[in-house]
Amino acid sequence: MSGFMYEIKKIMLHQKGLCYIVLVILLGAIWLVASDNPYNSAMEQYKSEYEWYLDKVNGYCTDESSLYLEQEAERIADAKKKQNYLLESYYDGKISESEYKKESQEIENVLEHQNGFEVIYQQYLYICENAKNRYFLHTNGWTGLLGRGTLNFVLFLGILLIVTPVFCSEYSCQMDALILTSKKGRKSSLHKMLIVISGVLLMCVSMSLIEYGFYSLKYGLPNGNYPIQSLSYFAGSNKSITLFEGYVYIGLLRLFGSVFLTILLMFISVLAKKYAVTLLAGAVSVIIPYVGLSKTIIYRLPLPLPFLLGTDFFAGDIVSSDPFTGEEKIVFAEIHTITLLILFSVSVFLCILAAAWILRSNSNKWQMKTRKMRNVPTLAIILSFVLAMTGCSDNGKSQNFIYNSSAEYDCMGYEITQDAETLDYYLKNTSTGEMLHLVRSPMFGAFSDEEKVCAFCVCSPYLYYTTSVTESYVNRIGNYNSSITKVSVIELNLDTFEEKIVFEQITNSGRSLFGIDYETGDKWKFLEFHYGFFINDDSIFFIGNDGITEVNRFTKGITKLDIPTSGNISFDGENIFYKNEQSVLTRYHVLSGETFTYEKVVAYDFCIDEQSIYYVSRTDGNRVYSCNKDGNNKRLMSGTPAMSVTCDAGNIYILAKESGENIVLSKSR
Amino acid sequence: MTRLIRYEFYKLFCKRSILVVLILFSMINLFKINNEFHSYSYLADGNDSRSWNSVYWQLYEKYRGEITTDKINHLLDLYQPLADATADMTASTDTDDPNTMTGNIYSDENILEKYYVQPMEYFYNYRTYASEVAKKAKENAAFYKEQGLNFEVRKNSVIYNLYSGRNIPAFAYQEMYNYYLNYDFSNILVLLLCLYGIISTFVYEKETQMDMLLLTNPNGGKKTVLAKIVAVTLFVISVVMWFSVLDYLGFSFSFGTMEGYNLPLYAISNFSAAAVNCNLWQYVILSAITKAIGIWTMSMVFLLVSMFWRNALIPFVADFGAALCLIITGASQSYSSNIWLKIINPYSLLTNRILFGKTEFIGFAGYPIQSFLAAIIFAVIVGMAVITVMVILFKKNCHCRDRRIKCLDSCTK
Repeated sequence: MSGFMYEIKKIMLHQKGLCYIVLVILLGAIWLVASDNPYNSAMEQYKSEYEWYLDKVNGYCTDESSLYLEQEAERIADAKKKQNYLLESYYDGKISESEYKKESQEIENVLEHQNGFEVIYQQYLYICENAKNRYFLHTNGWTGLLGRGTLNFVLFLGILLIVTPVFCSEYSCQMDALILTSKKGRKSSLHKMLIVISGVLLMCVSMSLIEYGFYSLKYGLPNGNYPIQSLSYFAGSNKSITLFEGYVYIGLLRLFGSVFLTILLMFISVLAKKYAVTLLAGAVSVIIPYVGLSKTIIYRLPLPLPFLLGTDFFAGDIVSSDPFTGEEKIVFAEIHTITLLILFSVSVFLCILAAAWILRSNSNKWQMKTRKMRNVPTLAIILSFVLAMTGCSDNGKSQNFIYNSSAEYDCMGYEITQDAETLDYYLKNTSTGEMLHLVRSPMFGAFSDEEKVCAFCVCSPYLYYTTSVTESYVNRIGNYNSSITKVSVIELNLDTFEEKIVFEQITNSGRSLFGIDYETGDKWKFLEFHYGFFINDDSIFFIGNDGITEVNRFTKGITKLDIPTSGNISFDGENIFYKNEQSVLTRYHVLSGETFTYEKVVAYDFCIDEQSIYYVSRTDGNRVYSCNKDGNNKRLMSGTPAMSVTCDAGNIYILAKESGENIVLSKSR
Repeated sequence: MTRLIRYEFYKLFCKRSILVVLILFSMINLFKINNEFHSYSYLADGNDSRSWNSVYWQLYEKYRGEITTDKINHLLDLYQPLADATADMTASTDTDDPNTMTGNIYSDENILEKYYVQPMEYFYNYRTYASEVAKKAKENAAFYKEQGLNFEVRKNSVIYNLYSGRNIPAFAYQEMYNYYLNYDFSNILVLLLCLYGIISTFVYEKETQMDMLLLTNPNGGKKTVLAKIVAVTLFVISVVMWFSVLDYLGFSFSFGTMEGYNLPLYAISNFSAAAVNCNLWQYVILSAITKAIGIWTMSMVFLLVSMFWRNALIPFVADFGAALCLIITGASQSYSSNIWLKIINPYSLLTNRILFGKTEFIGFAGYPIQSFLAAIIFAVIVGMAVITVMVILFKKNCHCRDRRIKCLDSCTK
């Protein structure tokens, strides 16, 4: 067996290099799958509708595509208006059923892909800012692949594990002296370097390919020949490269960064000859500049870190406006190609120097000459490297309850009221008139206006409510702009007045950790705009203007339900009741996902209780009827034309259409 | 034993490399602190007579000290015309207006609003806010008493005692403390330095096979391991104290003042619901002690991990990875209402504003314990448990029993 093969055996098997490589690739892949969120969640949610439009405008934004989108926007706006008018006319008897069906069919054709249109129109607005180098394409895959400007900690730790023992193990058992006495002593270090660099390259290339494969499978990576500026992350970039070229260049830079770190670690290990010093210097050379310096400085340092990050070499200027003075500040200054080439050349030069030093230090002749100098350059070089960095809930709880989003809250003898001045919510005891603070924490809202109650849901004996809290820390642009909004669902036991948080989520997509800014995707943004919610054992359903979002209480998985929220939304623990776009009452079973339409119940408004549905009939002179939950047993409740209907345990409340009077009817009537 | 501890301390930590790293990290820390001032403070715009820095300190003499109606009226007389003039954004944008303090009317309005009106309004109103909290807590306590919820009664009583009487009577400069209390960078340096110092505690002797030799010594085994643990504890405390002092002095020098040290902690708006009633200078000390406990607990875990390996590679990477995980989970959970997650993570003790910035409780046997206290107790228990494990697991010097030594001694005599 040749010396090279012995070295491979030693590094890969005895020092477990192969095991670490496999482990890093495995952990990297798991982390990739576990941590990925689509950058634009609407693009995924309405993928087919979005792609329908994308097929028509894909690529360069021509005058025709521009005109088409503008016209489509007008067509959709007109269709929405017409749809309302048509519906009113039909239920008022101004047009016949056949006319209604014919015209509504046309409108439905126009509105069939409207959700996807919202997404492509947002993309169009972005492209209009600079149509020359921004193309229409499905961006989630490419943004995931290229827009990750964060350090891969798994890879970094993997490199530390693989590289450090290569020379340190020889020094720790004083094998180095023995090797130097052999004929091929110098070759041994060359072999070691080649093997370790190959191992690290293998690891990086594998991870890069895994990332490509993952994003290609999950979102697709189409149109790799489009300009990189098509992604908003690279909006201000002045570099004329395509998306695929961007992937290749960033991948190559990361490869170089890994090799640079490898050589740096080997260099330090040869100088210091100790595990601890090598590991510390390696960790410090990456972590300290990463958390301590701004991106602008990081990307101008001849260190492995900028190359390991890679992405921002191709990003443009990032300018933020100071929220206080309104002045604009450059948060990140673009790296020009010449700067990149100079930085790369300097880094390559440093790598060559370090490699030469490693080889020379394993040469018998040189070793004898400079033995006295051994410790001085060790500390000096570590010092110079580091200075370079500094330079610059229980089952069965909610089984039987009724939720009506439009209803007043009458919960177990308490009424929820809001103080007109302080805007605080109170629980008013309906029998004694006693007022209690709804939020039990005395500190809530005391020091900040950014702490507020958003919505309620009663599920006897619990009252659930959501709160939104915004906390801002040192609020200046740059790294410290850390402001978070947190939405919580709180369970208040109305028997004991004990409180418990059952769900909590930060809604911001941008986060900051030790000054490292990163994006988490916009999937929780909807929480900031919810105005109602209801809950069962498994899920919480948040009602917003653009629909209902179901959130699994245990896995936090999100499902967007295709339910319009223009009218009342009711929930009986198993089914969601709502008016569809034709105002026909519809029921959605949350477990099976099945939908049932009450063809005969066309309602202006409705509400439910445990047994019945009460509704203002649109086809029957706005009179109030009731029926069973299966749609049978229709009964007239009030002949007075009504605007709305709500109910509680004992009564039905009707708002008369003409007089505006509130009428209370007993259910037992 | 004292001599053994001293020897271990000298052997492990009085090394040139540790000294170099300590000096290097101290320099990096000072650079970073100075950078904080220049990057984030609006007062870092030089000493020109029209700079915010000069204007602020000129005005400061007029408004510092006890907040009186005269001072408030004087400030509002100065600020209100500026606010009115700039409200519709049609005022002159000249930057050399001789009738202004900073050369520009918007700039004048901004400096007064940010550095005087907003803080003084907050200081002045704080008493009302705090008394509202105390009032609500008192009502809550009475209400829960009727409900028979003793834990809630006790918790609200603590809140009442904490908030009643809170008041910020005097106005002072507090920007420096705002940045100082949000500064985390030195924690990373302390962690790395401690990791480097500690990792070789056991490994060094294993690499040189000194561990076997030590077992033949009467002071080997348990005594040595205890001496090492005490030495590590002293090292960790020294490092934390050094960096705490450095942070404070660094901020004071960079911002050019220590003004405001006597303000109560809740004078910093992020600490409006602070868990303790103390002054800022007292909090600086409290924070250093809390950090030391957090780092000490992490160090004991680092030490335990390093016990099982013959070189520093795996323990360093494992400890470094574990520290990163604790930092990342701790930072992501810092806004969470799940208090237990903060308590069990020693990272919360390092960036202790997470614990001291909010009045939060956990229940223990029906009694409310404040989150910072629970976190400290938990960290100390974990640290002691780890020490016990280390003492149990460390090889005993059974080949060299005291009795045998005494016997040998008597024979030689």
